[in-house]
Amino acid sequence: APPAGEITVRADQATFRQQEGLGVYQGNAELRQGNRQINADRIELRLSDGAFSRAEATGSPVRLREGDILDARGQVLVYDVTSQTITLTGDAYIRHEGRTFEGARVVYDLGSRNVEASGDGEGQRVRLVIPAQDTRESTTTPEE
Amino acid sequence: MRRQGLLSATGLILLSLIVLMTLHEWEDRVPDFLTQREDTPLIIAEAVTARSFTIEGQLEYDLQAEKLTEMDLLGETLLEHPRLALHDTQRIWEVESQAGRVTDKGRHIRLTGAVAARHFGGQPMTLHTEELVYRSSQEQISAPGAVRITHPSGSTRAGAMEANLVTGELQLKNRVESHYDMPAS
Repeated sequence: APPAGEITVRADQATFRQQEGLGVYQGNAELRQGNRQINADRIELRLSDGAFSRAEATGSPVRLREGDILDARGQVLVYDVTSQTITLTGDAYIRHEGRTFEGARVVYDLGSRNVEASGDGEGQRVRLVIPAQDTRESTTTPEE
Repeated sequence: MRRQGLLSATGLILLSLIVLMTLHEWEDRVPDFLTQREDTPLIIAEAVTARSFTIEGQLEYDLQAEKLTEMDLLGETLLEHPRLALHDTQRIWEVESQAGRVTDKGRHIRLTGAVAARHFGGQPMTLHTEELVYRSSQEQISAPGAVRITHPSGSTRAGAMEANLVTGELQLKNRVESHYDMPAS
């Protein structure tokens, strides 16, 4: 498997705009990094100073998976390398370590592994579901 | 056996065969200058540099080759180890290959064999393929087959490519796969 850091992107076709450091991948687009995988209709990759800095995926929906700890979807996904966050908007949904978050906007912090969900202030509120037997408690205090 | 006249069926067949052979023989003897062979080069030149300009007088490309063979009757120029530099106010692409063929009065250049192209606009990039076609009237280069591109922080493979020399945009087709190194976080 490619080194954890390396990113592989595949698609039916792509357009490179060298001047802007932009690569737009379209048609069955897929981005992989270690065991993290994004599937979308379109993935736009931006390089700044020659280094990969941002990916924006759009789809119906965009799917994000990371092993079996994370499963997420939304209409738009932005992977920001600098802030090490993945933001999902548009009927966003994340199932992370058994808990599910739904809202207009859900942010997953790759460093802390925290999830933050927010509504859109108009109609879509946040919905958080914690399973009756929360996996985290069972792992921390098995004797109870 | 009944005697057959000269013009009997057998005679006629023999006679026409002889006539056909004579005509065929004559055709080969037609003097060379009346049917110059198409594959006779008009000019063979070595260590050549050629430049092409737009109507406005702007340098469009400069072309160097170890050997140039001008096939006048075929309307084409054959190149050995050409190096083609494409300009749009400044040099934007430089392409080298084992062989080249120039047609359509210099407006169509096909480069083949270990083609290596370097892009100078924006972020540097190199491209490797087996065939590259330059169409000056459309200001476009294209590779009909597999390409391998090395670009900042990674590399990309595709089944075909078209590059617009004015906008600098590259279209990659037939399944694209890119690998990007991640910056140290």
